[in-house]
Amino acid sequence: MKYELLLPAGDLDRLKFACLYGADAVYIGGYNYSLRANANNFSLEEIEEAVKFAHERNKKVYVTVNMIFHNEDLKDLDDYLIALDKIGIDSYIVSDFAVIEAIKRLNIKTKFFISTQKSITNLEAVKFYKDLGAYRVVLARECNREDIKNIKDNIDTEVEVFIHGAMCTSYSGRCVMSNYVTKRDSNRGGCSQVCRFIFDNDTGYEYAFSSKDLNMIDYLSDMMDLNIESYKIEGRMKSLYYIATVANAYRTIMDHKIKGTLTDDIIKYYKKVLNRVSNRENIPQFYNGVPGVEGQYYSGRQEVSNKDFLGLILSYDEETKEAIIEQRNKFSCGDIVEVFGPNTSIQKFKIEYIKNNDNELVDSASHAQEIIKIKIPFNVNKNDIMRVEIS
Amino acid sequence: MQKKEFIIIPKQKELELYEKYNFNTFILPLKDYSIGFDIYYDIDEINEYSNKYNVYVIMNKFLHMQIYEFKELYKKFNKNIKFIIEDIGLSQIIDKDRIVLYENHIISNYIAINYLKDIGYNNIVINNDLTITEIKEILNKTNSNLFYFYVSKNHLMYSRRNLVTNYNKNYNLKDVTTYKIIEEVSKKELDLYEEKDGTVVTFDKIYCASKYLNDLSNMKLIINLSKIDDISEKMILENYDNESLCNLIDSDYYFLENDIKYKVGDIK
Repeated sequence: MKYELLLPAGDLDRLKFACLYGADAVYIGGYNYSLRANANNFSLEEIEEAVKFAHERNKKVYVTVNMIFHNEDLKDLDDYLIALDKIGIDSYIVSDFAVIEAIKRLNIKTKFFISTQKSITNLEAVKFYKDLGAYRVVLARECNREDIKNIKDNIDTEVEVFIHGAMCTSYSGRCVMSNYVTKRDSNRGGCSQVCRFIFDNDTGYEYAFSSKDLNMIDYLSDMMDLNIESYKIEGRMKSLYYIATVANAYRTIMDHKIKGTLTDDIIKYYKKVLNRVSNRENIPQFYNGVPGVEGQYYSGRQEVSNKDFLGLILSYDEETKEAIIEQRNKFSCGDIVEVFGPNTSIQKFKIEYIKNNDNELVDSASHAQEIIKIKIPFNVNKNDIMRVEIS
Repeated sequence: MQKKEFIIIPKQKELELYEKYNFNTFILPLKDYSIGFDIYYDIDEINEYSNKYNVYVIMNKFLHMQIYEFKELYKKFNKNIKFIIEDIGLSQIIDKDRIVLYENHIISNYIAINYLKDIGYNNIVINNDLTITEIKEILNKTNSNLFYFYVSKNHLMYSRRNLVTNYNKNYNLKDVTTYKIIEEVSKKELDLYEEKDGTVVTFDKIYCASKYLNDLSNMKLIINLSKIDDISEKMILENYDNESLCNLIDSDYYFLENDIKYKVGDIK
């Protein structure tokens, strides 16, 4: 059984980090036809580079063509699908029947699967899309364990489930509050997240109904026992640090599960890591039933910014033990920090000194993206991440 | 004269009340399978009405495992009844020629409609957030039976969560199931209606496409009276085939005349 860890990427840098930090596959959007207009997204040239980078590392690239098409959007669809096919993407993620029609009419060899926008909640819906040629479906985030098990036990269509990230308050695809309140089309990539706005009502309290985030780390092992094929992280607009951290956490958990070495302590540690990197509280949401009062927020935006990401390792000199680092958040001499990376297990050390770009000793690294040197007492690698001590 | 047909989703349980307004075709929300309506009907009531009127059953919930309960129920419906369905899984249970496919806010282009016809789905509810130009193009380029929510308090969001109960519990408020909420910046008003299996949010204004009635030819025009106040209901029933209806009620038809500019591509 092959379990796929599927990461989002809003641009080429994020895609590379997702691949390096443990993704088996990455999903991205082009400039057109995807549902994250605010992500940087990819030109066709960038998609080609992304596919080359991923395929060289035996990773897959899925491209979202999952917006709801109005007549005017259909004009260049054929050319776009053909271009993606020529590039050699591994799959289209689709929701509109017009896209399925085009893929079939053009006899395109690249496979497609069905986006969560279709809110698939039962086996019968999976059968419908299998009949249309989909080899995989992304289930609605409202599915519980029983829904998922019933589907997995009764059909050979691949199943993809969300395991981490933001939740819509609505069933996906069935919310146009953004259209009505802000005149931004949620089903064409412009969702303004009205469900996270503040409202007045007549109770004396403000009204809000935004969802807390999803975090399935406690149930990932159980989900893998259901033989689900693909485990998806939400967040094409998330930071590079978020992508690397979440990929690393779930990659580690999945690998331990496969090897039979997963322990409660490992889960506990990575739960702490994921809680820190998330900007909202997170829970398993619908897996064990409809979330009650604990599943959402009732007042205003609750996001907190994360300043754990201290620096990105650009290079390391094994002889001098000095690393060149691009600073991301402030740190100072004497701080205990930790480093992790694709081939670097989590290790801690104390910052002994910091040299600025002019090779002068300074007490703190306080300028964003400043290039500095520090001593690290163990080998690290390019693209490793230095963060605050979590354990 | 091109053919239009008006279909009522009732607000009153007794369908006879609508006869005087010349309605004989009804959409009846099936109890436990629908959400966001005022009145629900069980199978016996639906079968009985289907002996007298043209009847469509609407099921607009996502059904999860509940879909298997419908397998048995389906066999008991009179054969002349058709089904307006949101959950595409029901396509595996209901005979294709009895299905009206209704993916709320989703079906928005002519190629999708023609493709669905090719695979056997000839009855489609189109999105009513489209512009009149888009609708006319769809009418010109398709020959399916198209249904359209012509007058309705549009469902803007459908959540599986109990968004009213959770809020009440959080603040220890009295046990109500509806709220009117007002967005702080835009001052747009929305209405929340919680039911057993989730919550629906509607726009406070009544969507009404009567201004373009003559362009909506060859369509089945749905008048959803759910959540509409009594005075407006009366006005709608007396003037539904009048282009000026939209001026007689507190209506909104912004999307008929305005394309939404904020979308992929426009922000680059």
